[in-house]
Amino acid sequence: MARTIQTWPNAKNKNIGKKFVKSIPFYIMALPAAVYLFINNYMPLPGLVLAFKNFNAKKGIYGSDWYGLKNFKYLFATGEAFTITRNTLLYNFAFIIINTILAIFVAILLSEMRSRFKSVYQSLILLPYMISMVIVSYLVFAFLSTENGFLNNTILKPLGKDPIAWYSEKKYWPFILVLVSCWKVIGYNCIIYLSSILGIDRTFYEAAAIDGAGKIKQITRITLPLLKPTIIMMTLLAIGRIFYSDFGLFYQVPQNQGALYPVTNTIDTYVYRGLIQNGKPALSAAAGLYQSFVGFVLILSANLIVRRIDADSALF
Amino acid sequence: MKNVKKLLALLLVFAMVFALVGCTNTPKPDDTKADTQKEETKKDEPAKDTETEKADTDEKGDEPAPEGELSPYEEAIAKRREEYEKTGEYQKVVYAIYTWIGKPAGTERIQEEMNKILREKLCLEIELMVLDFASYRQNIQLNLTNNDEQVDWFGGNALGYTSCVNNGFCYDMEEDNLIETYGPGICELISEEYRDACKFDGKLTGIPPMKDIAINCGAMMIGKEYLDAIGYEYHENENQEVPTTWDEIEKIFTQLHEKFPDKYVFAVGGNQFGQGSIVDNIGNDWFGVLLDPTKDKTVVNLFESDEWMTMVKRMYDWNQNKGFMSADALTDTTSISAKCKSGQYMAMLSQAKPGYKSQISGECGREMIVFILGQPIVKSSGVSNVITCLNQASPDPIAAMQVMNELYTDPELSTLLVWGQEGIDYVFTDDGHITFPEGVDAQNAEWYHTMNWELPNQYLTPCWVGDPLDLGQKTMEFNNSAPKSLAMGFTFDNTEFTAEYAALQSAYDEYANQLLYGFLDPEKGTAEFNEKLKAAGLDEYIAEKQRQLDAWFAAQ
Repeated sequence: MARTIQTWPNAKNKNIGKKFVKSIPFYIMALPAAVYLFINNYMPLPGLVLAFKNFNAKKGIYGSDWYGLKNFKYLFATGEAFTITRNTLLYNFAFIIINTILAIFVAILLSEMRSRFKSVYQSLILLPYMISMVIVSYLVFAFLSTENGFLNNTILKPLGKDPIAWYSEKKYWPFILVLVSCWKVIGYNCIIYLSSILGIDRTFYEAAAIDGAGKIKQITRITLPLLKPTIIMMTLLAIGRIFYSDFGLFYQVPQNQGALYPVTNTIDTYVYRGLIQNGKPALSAAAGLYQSFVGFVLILSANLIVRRIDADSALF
Repeated sequence: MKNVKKLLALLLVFAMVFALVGCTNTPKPDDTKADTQKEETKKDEPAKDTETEKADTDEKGDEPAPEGELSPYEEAIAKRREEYEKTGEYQKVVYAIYTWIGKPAGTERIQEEMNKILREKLCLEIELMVLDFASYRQNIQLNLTNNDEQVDWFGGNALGYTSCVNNGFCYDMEEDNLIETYGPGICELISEEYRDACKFDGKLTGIPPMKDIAINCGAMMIGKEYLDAIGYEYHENENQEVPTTWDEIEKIFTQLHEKFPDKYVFAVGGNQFGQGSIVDNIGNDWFGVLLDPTKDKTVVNLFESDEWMTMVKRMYDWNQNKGFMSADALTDTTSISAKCKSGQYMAMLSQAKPGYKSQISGECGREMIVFILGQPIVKSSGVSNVITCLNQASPDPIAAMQVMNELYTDPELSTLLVWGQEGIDYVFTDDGHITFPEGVDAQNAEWYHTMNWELPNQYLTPCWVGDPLDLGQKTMEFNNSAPKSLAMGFTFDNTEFTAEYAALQSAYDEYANQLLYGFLDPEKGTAEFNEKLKAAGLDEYIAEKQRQLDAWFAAQ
């Protein structure tokens, strides 16, 4: 960077000044977001020291005694560590793959649709994304309740099957959680893909149609390749958060049932429960720092790989 | 230019990835700032706006000075009065209370009535911060960590007393003789023995309310109307209790189930094992207990004991074979008394004490008959299992202590806090009891929280219809006559075992309720459960508990 600055001649500097003046309205437009980013994301950074402190309210965050890495011990010291890490990673992988594929699929369907109700469909698909997880958890409960649930009473009973105690049977939950996640997230993701698709020059399709390419060909040869940068960006962002789990999905939807812990406990829920039981802010700060650190490393390495394959699509 | 962009992008990613740490897991910076600011003002300007600990020590220094012969207690009030004349505003003390039902409609009215007395007596105001139990835990915990809002007194047991102490939330009430000087009434009521039982590391970090310290474990409550419907005969003794056995209860349940097939017989919830047996969960967790706490000092694994197996076998039978429980019992987190109040459930298990019948009948909104399955005992945490703590960041510990002193000793204040206002929330009956006024009942009352046991001194107040008029005396007798756990007053410090504790608790959450509510095969489930606990470090945890207990015994 230093080199570039040195080689800039004076004239260019003026140019930059002009450019800056020209861009002032845009900077002003960006200001609220930048201020928000600064307050919300940068100002709390010093608070990370809490992860290395033996927190005592009397002494405050900065005045508490140093505690080395002992706060991190609780994440790794037990056999639980494997389960929660496995759950977090595998679920997120499943979500990334399934949600991306389905979202693109729905986006393509919507973009090809010529119905007057298109916007209605779009809104309907988006609706679940707007619903709070707490409410979702009760919608799910309405389906799965052992005694009064829809599945047990309206579907399994007429079929002559025994009712299933959904909230104590581990084996169904990986599917239930993936299903709920899809239902909730697809509408939102597909809007992003849809907007990219709508940004594709229509003349490509016209030319392809003249050359005799059918719909399927058009999709595989035009839409998908042009969607690639968006897909890569979305996936990279998702990979950066692969160590986080949707707390509501894993805590509220299974109704915090102990019987389901082996398949629903993720790092976030484990830390939350630990915090509520132990009541130690320092432990959750340590867990948060650990998650961030791994996420940061993951996103950097994913980006590195992407750059190897396709330099233009890399984020930086 | 490209490099700058790259750097910018990197920074943005960095910020985004770390955002979550910022917004959820650590206190916001403005909070910490406010916090340190508060502390600064505390240190620099002790006399501004509020009196502080410093003012307290200053005052003590002047104590011998014959300034109008005021005791430090009166002097603190006089100082506040001066301040009030200057600013025209009363200083306030915040008392955070939890209830099962959230904030009752009459809270502001009661607060105002109490303030009429407190303004006169202490020249300050109280603010009642009433929250339902579930949100109490989270709100108060956050508040104690960053002290956004003023909280002076809080119920330490709601957050876990040990963890409150470990996090340094609690003020040492013996510091500068705070409690002796400004809470003489409390010292008189809570004996030294009981105060010692609340101490951590020699520091008085909490005080118990005036309540039953002993419990009568294993109390099965059944709605009277249902018993009448099956024509069951029972004879209440002078404590309004019916001694019985588990087998007898099973018989009653079977009849109830036949008579009311549309209702559930037994509302499960809470810690069924703790309520139903004399086993002492020393250190406030179930990982290492005293099975016979009045005789045996050995810490053992509860989940390998016969006591445990008998209980879970019975529950499995009741649930799977007899159908007494709801199939949704595991997911339904409604409190058991609320379940009974709903009319869908007929019985619940808890622990009794003198006057319990009237308390539980209030909570359930119908008359309940108390059947006793166990025996009275004082468990190790008996004194400290309901405890009131003073926030270390309280802006004025002296004022807070004086308010608490009044709450312990002033019958009028106590009655307002416990029962509300005469004529609106209660009226006197001819024989000196109190009851609801016309048109008011447990369902629509504005101040009928039945949290008497959480509040400082319930025995200064009139007795509710159904309670013996000498309830206070009876309770004290009950406390004194019940056999005491050998470990009474013992507290377990698990700071070095946080990791193990979290893992143990996780295993407990996975299995305990399924077993206790009868959803899992007792033999197989318990074996798996024990395996998980052992993997989580149960043996080391128990050994540490035994070590601390032995050291504690040696020091006694």
